Amino acid sequence: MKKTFVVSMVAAVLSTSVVSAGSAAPAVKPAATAQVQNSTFTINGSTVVIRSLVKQGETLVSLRDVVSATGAQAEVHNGTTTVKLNGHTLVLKSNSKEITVDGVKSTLKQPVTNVVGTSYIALRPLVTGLGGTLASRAGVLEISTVPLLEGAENPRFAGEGKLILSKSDEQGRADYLVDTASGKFELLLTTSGGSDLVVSPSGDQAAYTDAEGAVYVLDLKNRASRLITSDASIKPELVWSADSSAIFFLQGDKGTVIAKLSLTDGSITKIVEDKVDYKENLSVSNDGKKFVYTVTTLGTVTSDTTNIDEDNVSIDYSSNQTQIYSYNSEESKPAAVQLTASSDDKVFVLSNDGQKAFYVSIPSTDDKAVLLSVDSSQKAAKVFADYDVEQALLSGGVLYVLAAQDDSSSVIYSISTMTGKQTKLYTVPADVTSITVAGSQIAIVHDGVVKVNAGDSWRAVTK
Amino acid sequence: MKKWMKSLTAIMVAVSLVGGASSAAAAKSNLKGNIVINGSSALLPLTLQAASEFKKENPKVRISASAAGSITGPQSVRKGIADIGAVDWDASKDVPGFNKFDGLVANPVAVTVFAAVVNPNVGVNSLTTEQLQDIFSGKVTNWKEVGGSDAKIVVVNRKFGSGTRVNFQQKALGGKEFMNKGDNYKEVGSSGDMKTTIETTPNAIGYIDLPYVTSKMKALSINGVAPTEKNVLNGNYKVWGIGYYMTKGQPTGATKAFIEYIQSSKFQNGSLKKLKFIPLSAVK
Repeated sequence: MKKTFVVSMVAAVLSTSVVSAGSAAPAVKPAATAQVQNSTFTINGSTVVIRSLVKQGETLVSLRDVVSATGAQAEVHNGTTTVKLNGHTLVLKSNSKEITVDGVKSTLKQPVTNVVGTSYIALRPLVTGLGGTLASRAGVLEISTVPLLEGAENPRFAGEGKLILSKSDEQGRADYLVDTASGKFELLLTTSGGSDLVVSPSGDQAAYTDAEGAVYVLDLKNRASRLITSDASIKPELVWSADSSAIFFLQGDKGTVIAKLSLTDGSITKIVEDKVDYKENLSVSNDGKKFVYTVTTLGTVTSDTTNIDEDNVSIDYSSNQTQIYSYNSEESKPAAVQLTASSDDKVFVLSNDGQKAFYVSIPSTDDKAVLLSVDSSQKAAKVFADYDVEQALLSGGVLYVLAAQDDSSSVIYSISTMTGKQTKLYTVPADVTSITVAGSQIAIVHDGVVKVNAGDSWRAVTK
Repeated sequence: MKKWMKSLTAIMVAVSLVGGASSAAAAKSNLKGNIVINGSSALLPLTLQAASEFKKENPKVRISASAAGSITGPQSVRKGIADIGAVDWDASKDVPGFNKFDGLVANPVAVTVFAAVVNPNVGVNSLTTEQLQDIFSGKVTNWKEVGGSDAKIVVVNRKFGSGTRVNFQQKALGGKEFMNKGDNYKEVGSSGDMKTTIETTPNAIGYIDLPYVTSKMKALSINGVAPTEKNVLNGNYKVWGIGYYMTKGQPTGATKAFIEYIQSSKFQNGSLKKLKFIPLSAVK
């Protein structure tokens, strides 16, 4: 009700301003011949029809329509129109090329033009002047004037059109749910010492631990958190079961145990308890029976502290390696199976089925990093070695790779885990630092800004 | 209409390409290097967790970790076989029992809380400073003398050079000396060994940093105050110290970036707290 009233008021004010400006500046010819047409835009996630015209090759849009669609406030005083939105102020005059944005003057290519009582202004200076952004998707311009979340990181998709993003400061971490179409965001959770939110496969729940180790599940629809267990053991990694009925986790400060937490009754079952420390990078098969993880072995130190000044200390790092293991809990005598024995550094260790692992092998030389696969045969096979791999992830049984193509660009590939077929999806600037994927949705982090794919461009959802 | 939209789209794409080119000109951080970290076993869980997270952002940085007690950290850095020496005291200054390490820079990384711990069969929940001094010096040898059952106390001590030992001696025992021999005296080389020994040795008492405390042992209150973050922050629990990463001069390159990561708000108020350390900012 209130919004409607404001918009009506704005419309009335703008109508008045056009008449007034037109009569006060007769030297500029009214654009009587300009053809006004209706154009469809997406503004803040909604489809909106905006009146527009083309003047000497440049598209001008109805100020009144854009003000109405964005919820901006406008007022006219002595022929000068002031438009305000989200702390930005744009000042313009009808029939003038000069505008002022947040106190800074600039010049338009085409003057603000009035046609039948409506002011028309170039689209981009208007939108950017009000702090908005523009992108095109399938030939339709998308305009967002929603104030974006600033300085957020760690994007995770949470269902269709939603991302969870986090901000950290000395008070702790705040997690936000961001609408990828409009950029609108809302606070989900604040925590100090809690784990990251881990989104369920269905995308409608997220699990986390608090600083004490208790596990909660947050319902992303009603925002309610449910305590699953107050078990205080340290849980370095949480992994959802494929059917979202349980959470697997590494347990202890050294990640020694692999355990399963039932979301039905909060019971904890220890699955792998082989006293092998420093497990990480846990993957679980769809049936919850098979596991892939890494084990890091530390360097061996020999020291004699009889005379400290002599520095009688030596470190043997020959055994200091990270190796990948699988574990099938369905076997009659389950035991960890070592999948790798190589000394290369292994990062982004992934598995679909809890038996075959994919990982990015980092060479000790300046050679490029490559994506490999390995199974119990311990024979590593190249999966992607065309470019220097910077990140790999697995979503819906498909591998996604971010790789440096050259000094100025990176590429994003999808790779079928079944056939190995590679598909080049996007070329992005070299300073894209990470990607996140869920189904057909993909987001990148570029210059610290999270952007989602919007057809032929990337739309920022943070700033 | 279509033509108009096409031309508008073309303008838009041209504009965004210009923007893209300009931002692509900024150099991408492509950190490479090899970081060797040795020293405190108390700080080891923190180091490994930070390394795991850091490597996801900087996959070409290899981090090799080991732990054999605090003193071996600055020794390794001084000797040139490690880039970071993890130590439970500021080794750039003299502390009782250890001279300062000249030329090393102390980079604070975490607040560590230390607890006196006993095997779960010990029927004592709290000891005074004096009782702890008497037990760890060997003056009191039976649990019945401090309110427990009639059983000989097994004292488990960390080896000389342990930062946990330095902190516990200074802050829980008021600087009093430890016993160093006897039938019911053991010495262990790391926090992990201390954990295992306390869990499996009836009537044992030792001390350990909070991340290593498990359900198979009991952390004692000291003078009636439990070893919790809350009691450290309200000033009631005194047995805590700051853990440092010692570097030869100011850190550079990958080492600098790793230390900055572990000192970041994101890590300090996230994984660090989850591992039961206290953020540096909380005790400033």
